[in-house]
Amino acid sequence: MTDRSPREIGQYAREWAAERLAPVAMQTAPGRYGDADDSERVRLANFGLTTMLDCEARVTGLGGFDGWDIFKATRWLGVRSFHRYVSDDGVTTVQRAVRSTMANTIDDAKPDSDFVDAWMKDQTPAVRALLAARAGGWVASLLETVRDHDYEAEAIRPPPVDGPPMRFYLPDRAMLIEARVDALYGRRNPKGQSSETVLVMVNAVGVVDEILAFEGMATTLATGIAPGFVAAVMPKLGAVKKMAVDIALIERGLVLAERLADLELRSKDGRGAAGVQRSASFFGCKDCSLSPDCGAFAEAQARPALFGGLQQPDQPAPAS
Amino acid sequence: MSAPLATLGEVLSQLEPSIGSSDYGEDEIADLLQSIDKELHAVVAAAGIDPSLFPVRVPKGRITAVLACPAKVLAELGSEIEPIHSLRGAVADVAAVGAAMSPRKPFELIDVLEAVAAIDPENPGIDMWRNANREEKNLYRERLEPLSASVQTACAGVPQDWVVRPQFTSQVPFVDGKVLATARYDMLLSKPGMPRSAVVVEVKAGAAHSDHRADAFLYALIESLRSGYSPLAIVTISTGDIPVLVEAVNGGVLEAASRRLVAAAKVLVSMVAHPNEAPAQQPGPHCMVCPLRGSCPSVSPLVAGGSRD
Ligand code: SF4
Ligand code: SF4
Repeated sequence: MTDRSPREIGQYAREWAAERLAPVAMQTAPGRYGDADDSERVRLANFGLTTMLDCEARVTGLGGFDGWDIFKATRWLGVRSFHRYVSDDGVTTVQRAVRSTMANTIDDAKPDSDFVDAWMKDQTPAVRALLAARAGGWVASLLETVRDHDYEAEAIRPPPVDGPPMRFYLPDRAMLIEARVDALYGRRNPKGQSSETVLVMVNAVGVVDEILAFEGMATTLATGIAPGFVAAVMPKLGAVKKMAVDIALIERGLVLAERLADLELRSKDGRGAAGVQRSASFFGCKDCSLSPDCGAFAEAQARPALFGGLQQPDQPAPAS
Repeated sequence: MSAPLATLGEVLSQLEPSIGSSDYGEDEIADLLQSIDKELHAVVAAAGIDPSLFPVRVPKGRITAVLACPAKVLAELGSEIEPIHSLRGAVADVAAVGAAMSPRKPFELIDVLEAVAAIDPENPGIDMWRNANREEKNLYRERLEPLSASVQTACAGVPQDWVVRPQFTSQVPFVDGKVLATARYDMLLSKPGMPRSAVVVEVKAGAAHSDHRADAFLYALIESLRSGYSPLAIVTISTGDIPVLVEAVNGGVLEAASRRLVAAAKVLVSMVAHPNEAPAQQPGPHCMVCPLRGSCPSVSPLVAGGSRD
């Protein structure tokens, strides 16, 4: 198994994913993902995964996309600014890259668009200044953290920004797996040893291995070629953690995808959160639609010395 | 060094020549990290904590407080900040970032509030502002406008090649992640590609006082341990007589801050390990703003008998 080329691993992963996830995929509407109604689609991606790793039940209460805001726009602008920073010789600073990307987006904004361009155009200069700072900070953190871990900054490249999203569609079902690629490093070699590393910015400490397994699996499925490695860039810790993308990692990612699919389906088929594991946390419960009737939340509130206080478990404890 | 300078931009130009140099290098920082970790290993082992309660968090903001009075820290958990205070804090933070990013002309208060609503939509002060009648709005404006203007003046002049990272969160795990020191800087400034160019900026919505100095050194410590490089300086922006206060970072302040971090972690670990034991009451000037000052037997005589809200 270990002698397979990245392309062979990719092919194997695609076939195995289709088979392994078939029981959950069969519970979604038949036909193409794009043809299904929004309420029937199941999209397995980073946000659902990190929510699940924090509290499984919360996934069943997640709503759909609720419009653009400064937080969503930050990453969108960050990736594009990073693209400009590395590809345009005339742009020598991160801030200039952000400003010019932002200015172009606003200039080209289509009227009545529900995309980020129109959202950005509607914002006041002070909000735009904040957005520019956040996006610039995102790029700077990525570059600085990887540079401090002996990656050559010049060899880091952004993901293709104008290409199709990094997705793998489960055959004939309204379900997809989406990879989150924040940057790439090294050379892809579909036939032999690949040094290509997919870099993902990670904030949640303690669940890094799970995030890497999911993203390594998702990228392999989306491209059909396994990257050599997947690495979590953690600016909060100033750390980078890298794992090889092999069959074992893909398997681990699929287990997570299967669990996530079941939780996402629960929100659509009426099963809800009954019997699903709950894990209260300060920030998680704050944003959770289930909190008014959640016993775990009520219990956590009853012990304030730990909840929201001394322990503030806004992230799961490290897996020991 | 504590030198009054007029703007953040001036501070950065004065600091530029020192980028890359420090009397406290990477090896010393690695040693310091190791020695704190060793001490905390012993603290955690002795505490016999229920493993489900890890990680014990040691937020920067709680270090000074817990060293002052652990009982007060516990009493304040979950207490809500007055909406106007919370709004003042957010206005100061947003005004600072806005000024650092937009050199041309200061933002009006209304723009700053709009940006606070975008970044901190749950800030109770935003609802308070939106629901205020005209008279109330005028009152709030009187409290917020000078703050926004003075912070913007202080944060002006940041050169465009410096990257401003707003609300940067930093975490340093100890004892295999069982103890987590955290800090959130209002701004982290740096020049991309230049190690040791970091400048941590803390924005205060009031006047500076002596605690801020100790806080500055804790920021310096946590940033050094996170990044492996000591920052160039910690800058405190406030509305007092010295609106831009610069603290240089050296080995002495980092080591002193590390002792405070360990001492505070000890107290917090023991509070988590023994949630049913009443924490120590340590009177001092902080009794003045303690929610227990009316009933605490140890309350400072300076406060007993009087009350100050
Ligand atoms: S309220 Fe908290 S514990 Fe309950 S489901 Fe939501 S996130 Fe989980
Ligand atoms: S009154 Fe003073 S001694 Fe008592 S708990 Fe409050 S701060 Fe501590």
